[in-house]
Amino acid sequence: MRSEKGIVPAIVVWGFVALLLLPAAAVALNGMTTEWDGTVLPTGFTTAWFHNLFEDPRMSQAILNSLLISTATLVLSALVAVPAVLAGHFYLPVLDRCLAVLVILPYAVPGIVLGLGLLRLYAGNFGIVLTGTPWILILAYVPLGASFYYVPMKNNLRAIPAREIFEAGYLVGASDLAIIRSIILPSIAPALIVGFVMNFALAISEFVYANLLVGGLFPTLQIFMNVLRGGSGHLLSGVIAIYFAILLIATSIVLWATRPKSAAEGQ
Amino acid sequence: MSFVSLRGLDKHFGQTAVFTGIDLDIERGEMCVLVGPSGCGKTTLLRTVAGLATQDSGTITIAGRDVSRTAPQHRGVGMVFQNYALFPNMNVEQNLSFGLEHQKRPKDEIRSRVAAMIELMGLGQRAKARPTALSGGQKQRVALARALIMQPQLLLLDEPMSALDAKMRKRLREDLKRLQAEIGFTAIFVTHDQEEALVLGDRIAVMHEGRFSQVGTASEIYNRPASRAVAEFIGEFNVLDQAMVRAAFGRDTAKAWALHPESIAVEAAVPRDAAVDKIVATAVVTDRKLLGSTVRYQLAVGGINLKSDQLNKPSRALFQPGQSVCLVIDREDVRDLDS
Amino acid sequence: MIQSASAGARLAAAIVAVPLLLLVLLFELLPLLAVLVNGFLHDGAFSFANHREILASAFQRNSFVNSVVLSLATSLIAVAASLPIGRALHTMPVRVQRIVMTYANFGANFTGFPIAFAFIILFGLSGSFTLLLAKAGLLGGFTIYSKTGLALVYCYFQIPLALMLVFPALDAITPDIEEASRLMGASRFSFWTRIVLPILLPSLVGSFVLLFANAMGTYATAFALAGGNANLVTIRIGELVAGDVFSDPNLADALATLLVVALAVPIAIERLIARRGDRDAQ
Repeated sequence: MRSEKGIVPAIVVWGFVALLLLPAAAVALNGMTTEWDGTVLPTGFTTAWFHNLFEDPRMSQAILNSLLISTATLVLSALVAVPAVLAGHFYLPVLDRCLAVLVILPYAVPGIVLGLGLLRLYAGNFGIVLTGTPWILILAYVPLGASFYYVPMKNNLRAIPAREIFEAGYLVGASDLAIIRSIILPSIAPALIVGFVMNFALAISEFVYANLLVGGLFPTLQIFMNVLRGGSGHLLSGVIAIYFAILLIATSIVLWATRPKSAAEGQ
Repeated sequence: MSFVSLRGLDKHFGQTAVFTGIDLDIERGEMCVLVGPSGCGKTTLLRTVAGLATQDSGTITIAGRDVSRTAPQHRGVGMVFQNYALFPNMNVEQNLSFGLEHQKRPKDEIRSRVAAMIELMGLGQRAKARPTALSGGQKQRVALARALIMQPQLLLLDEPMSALDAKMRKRLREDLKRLQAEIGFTAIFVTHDQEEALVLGDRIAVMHEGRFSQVGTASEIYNRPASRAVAEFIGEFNVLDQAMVRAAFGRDTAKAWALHPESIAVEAAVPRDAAVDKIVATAVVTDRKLLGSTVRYQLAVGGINLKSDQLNKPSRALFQPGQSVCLVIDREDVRDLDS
Repeated sequence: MIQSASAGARLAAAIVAVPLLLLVLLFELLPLLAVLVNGFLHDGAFSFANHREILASAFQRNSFVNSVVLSLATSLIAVAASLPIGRALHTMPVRVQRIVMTYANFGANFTGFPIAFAFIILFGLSGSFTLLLAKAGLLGGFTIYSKTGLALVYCYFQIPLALMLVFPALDAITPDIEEASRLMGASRFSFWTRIVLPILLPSLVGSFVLLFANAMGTYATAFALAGGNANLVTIRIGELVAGDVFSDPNLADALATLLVVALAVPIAIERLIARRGDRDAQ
């Protein structure tokens, strides 16, 4: 296979990537055109739509809200999920198994179903009203995003290898906490960064909960997109293009964080 | 009272014994080697001495202190792990200073001790390198340095050379012996390589299925194996049970025999002065291999296969496969096996 | 696990995990329970009435059929597509693999409005590709607003997800295995059907189940593309909650329960296969 590598695999792979990026490119293009109706390629280009967007108070509000929720989710999930994964890996195998099952939950129970449940519980039926506030979103996103920490962290811990390093740390006299703080956490930094970014991406891409539980009371970027649905396609394209740009930055960060450390960096 | 003392250590996993009836005494400054095939329990025993695993019963005493239930941090042991377990986010110096920093030693002292250890281990060029940039041999030396810099009373080594090639192993073996002579640490070294055990060990414990088959010096183990298990593991013994002895040499014996290949002399014909205490038999050469300084013959005697090693002296003629030869063995070279 | 950890350390570890477990309880498990319980409430009494009503309605049954067919089809296509892409990717240097896999990761998450709208731009009534295809005479009756159109959009995020799930398993097909197979005279077809597929089958089945669940649970994308017109289970649930005319919370919960049950079966099977696979690998 190696000698026959040739051009075919490259075509398949890069073709795949091109198709993946095509819709994003199309949207971005649409956000920059004056006229793209009934023709294969746009006829006029303008940055007017982006200007409009940046002057539209709804847009700045939506971006701000989204960034707020996403950052809060990122921080809270880090504080809550990272210690739990470490606790399961080093001390409590039972917890570890529970966390492994938890990772499947978002697939087994779709967002629309859990969204319903959240509505039943926190819209005032039991005296608690969280719906309509950003809190319901943040608190609901955190357990969903926990799996984005679990998988990369477990892989990284297995690769280091974490258990022997822990024992080595013991034998030179360090306490559990010191070992976790000074050795384990820095060594799994790539996994942590992946988790941060994925949680951020989850929060900023989420629509079902946002629409069902908060809607216009605290409009996120995705809600704003829904609002713009009926109107000018170019404006909506602009919003989507900005959203894609944010995701692109996030992708790049993940790529950078998970780069293999070259031997030269040892010097 | 010896420096390190293990008494009646026992650990079971369900019905299987991981190790049982372990009694061992190690004097100060001694290198004791635990050797045995994979799965015999030697690594678990080592980890138990370190405190990283717990025994079901028995005691562990180090320098007069009973540490059977003490946490690993407080036993005064250091350990070199099989895969080194170097701290990946720290360079060599930081790996070495980590433990000292946790003892809250003054910075100057830490710096000088780290520098001295790096010098001793020949790691000067790589002092600022991270583990990923080190070779296998260098990683091993850092792991050893990290353990030694804490001045442990007992150093534990878990097959530290198994990931290295033969040449590197020889070199590091010599380095280890030299260090031990210089620093004078007491150590337990676990390996599955019987040659390594014989070279390194002041005291050797041969382990088989969770038990010590024999404990002794290299010479004792090699020349007077106590049992079949030991004979089959150490050296390249020809092990014959009573039936095989009868078939090969026509003798009835009370115990099984173990014969070193080098104690079976191969002659062209029966020597005229065959004394009474020599065992003589005719055999056919089935195979011959040149191993450099020795020639190894595979011989068939009365249906039994034996290995014989002869010095490859230029003056000696080599025997051909298929040739009929005469074996001469000194009775006192035969090891009687107890079990 | 650290075998020698003290009881105190274990207790501290348990305490540290409590916040996450609490959030899981309050925002995942209890809501699920609420939905399940609510589905059984009909006019204040505990019964299967809601579920029966749903199953009796041809329209609702159809939504299940549509959802299942759509999910099965896109999952199969995704798994099938991921194999050649994965194999091709395997031959590329690690640097390239990382880049492509990271983009696949995000492709798998490009769901909802952004992707639906992007496809409308490309394939909508006056979209670029629609025009191109029409000019080339290849369009046929295709429109993005049809079931096929929906399937196309689903494939966009299903295929990268399939790649992410299947790619690690391809490590098992080493170049050595391939060379050995070639030396023994096996054709490419033989190689694929008698060596690759059997080795990969457990992973493929597991991936397929996750893809199926992913597609069944998709709401935002379908909603963005077709609004209430798509007859899918998730859309029907959404309508029963938020629609003015059709609002019936208990019915919505019953439908949601049925959806969860429909997913629980394949997932339970997948878990069993995964556990057996782990045991075989010992």
